[in-house]
Amino acid sequence: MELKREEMQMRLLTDEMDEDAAHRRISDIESSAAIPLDADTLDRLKEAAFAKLGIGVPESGQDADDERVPTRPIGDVPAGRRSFSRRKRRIAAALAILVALFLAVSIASGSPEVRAQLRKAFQFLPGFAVVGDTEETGTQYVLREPIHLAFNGGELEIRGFRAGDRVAVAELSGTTPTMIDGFILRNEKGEMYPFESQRSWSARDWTGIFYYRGELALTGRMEILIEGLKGPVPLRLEEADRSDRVEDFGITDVRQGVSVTAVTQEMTDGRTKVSLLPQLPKEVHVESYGMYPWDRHPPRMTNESNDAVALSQDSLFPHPNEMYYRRTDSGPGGYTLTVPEMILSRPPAGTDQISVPVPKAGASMQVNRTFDLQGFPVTIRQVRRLSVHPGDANVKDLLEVDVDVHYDPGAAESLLMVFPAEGDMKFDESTGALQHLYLPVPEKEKTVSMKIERLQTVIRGPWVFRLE
Amino acid sequence: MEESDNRWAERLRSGEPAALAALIDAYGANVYSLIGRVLQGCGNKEDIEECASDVFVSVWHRIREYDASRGSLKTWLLIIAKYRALDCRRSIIREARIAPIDWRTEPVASEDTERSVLRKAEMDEVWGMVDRLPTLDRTIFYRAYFYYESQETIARDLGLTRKAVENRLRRIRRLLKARLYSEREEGLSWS
Repeated sequence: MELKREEMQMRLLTDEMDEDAAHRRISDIESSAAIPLDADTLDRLKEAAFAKLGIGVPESGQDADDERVPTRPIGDVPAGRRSFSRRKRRIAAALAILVALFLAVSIASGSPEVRAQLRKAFQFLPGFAVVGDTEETGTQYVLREPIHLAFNGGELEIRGFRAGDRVAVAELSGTTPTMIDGFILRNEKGEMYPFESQRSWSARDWTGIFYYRGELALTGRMEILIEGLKGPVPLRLEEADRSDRVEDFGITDVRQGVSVTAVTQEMTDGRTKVSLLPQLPKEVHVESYGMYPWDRHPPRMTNESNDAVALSQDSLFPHPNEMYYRRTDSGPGGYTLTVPEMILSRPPAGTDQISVPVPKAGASMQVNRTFDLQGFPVTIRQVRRLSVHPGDANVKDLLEVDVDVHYDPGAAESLLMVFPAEGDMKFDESTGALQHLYLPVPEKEKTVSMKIERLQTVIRGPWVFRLE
Repeated sequence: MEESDNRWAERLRSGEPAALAALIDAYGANVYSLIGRVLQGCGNKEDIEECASDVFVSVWHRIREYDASRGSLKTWLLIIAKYRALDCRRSIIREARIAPIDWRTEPVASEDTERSVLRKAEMDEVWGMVDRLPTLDRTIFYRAYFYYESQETIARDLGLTRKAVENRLRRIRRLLKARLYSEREEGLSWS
């Protein structure tokens, strides 16, 4: 039976809980039993696990010290896997992500009180400065440079730290086999502040935001205590620069009405860090400045001789708006950073919705109807109803929707993608613009209405910064 | 149970491979089944086995984190399995190159710390609401949505009818939905 959308939303909501919280909150919830695995699968599982550990599989047979009996079979079969087609799998995956994104937006608009309190506390520029409209009245302190530590067979990086009069936030990343779930900040008087975490991770690496809500008694010498790390880590915080205008911190260029300020910071390893700080409506944010491998028009850095200078980012979880370069010996002149374009994410307007007709099974239908999404025209050219598994009533048909987002390579801002609440999509690999949507066909409905959850556009500059 | 879990954990801590093999014998099916449910629709049998073996490798390395006073070894193991399965699901989706939607599945450091912390605080409120549910409802909620168990399985295991489980879940969803809906500002709907 297909999972209802609300059920899926709840699963994805629960997936958002971080692992520490799960251990804290649900360690008393026993799950149902499962039917035993067949001997071959169990053997493969053991062989794979022990091979990864680099030790041999112990002799088979009942472990003498194990008093347990195998779990009882009550029929919670791992559901003899459904024979999804590749496309169907993609739809399921895409649907899951879209719902997750939707939930992220929905949940993030939660408690006004909490939001207001925290928003006031966080209007700052990570790493170096505070802009004037923060309501934190006290002096702000920041960590100017990341701290790198060898830890637990990997690397731990304290990437940023900022303390104000209401909240303190640290960002840590690691390549360690296990993530840390918190740390203690200790001041000179021996007062200790526990930091909680919110983390995400990939196959090998993790990153986390750690925070303490409340005022810290900051002293000249501070230390961070991390379980498993030998000795405290000295933490030197400096008073943040402060200004009413972000432009005061660097070089600003304005294109298409979008102001971007580039701020440079010398690192002790000889690199120079550039942070790009755009000024956009609060609800719009920059997804990319062109530094992702799939971006089509990456930023360029040149020296005074117009030679290319390599730009790099942090190897672990790079901030999209931060990049590094090394000054060359070619001359004392300045450097020029050119950002050709930015990818923006825009939230939906209340009326962002597209309706398409549903043709009969196997049929197609010309539509040629244009919708206006926040000033961007989107034309539905044609719809086709595809049978994924003909004859299988449990698998819904798909609606293939030909979409024209009127991508214009010369426009100041051009629509790339629209993200409906569910479905799969294909895009033109040369431009990144949406071409087709694939939607499940609802039973007995003659039209499908798609609520648009997000728009993605490309906005073109170039923004040019002449840096010292 | 706590005593035997403690002994088992102790053997794992002392690096006894036989203890790990016994753990796989005892709970391999639970781990496999849970991962299968999480990867349903995007992973295959090989993905499940690969992920399940990773779980036991993690357990071997992380056994010092296990605290028997907080819950059973099995539950601790299954929580690790759930997160490993989510990790696997992200990787599979990424490899499927359903760009650009899956860009968001890549853990990328945000340039907006505020957003992250806001979200953490608000999610804490949601989990606080779930924690305040009656014990049975809370159990049903987490079994259905954390462990991805079917309503039929939950009903059978708890001695309820499937309809009773369905009704309780609907009530919980309504409760959370009402709370979230009443607090939103930006005109987004739940469904």
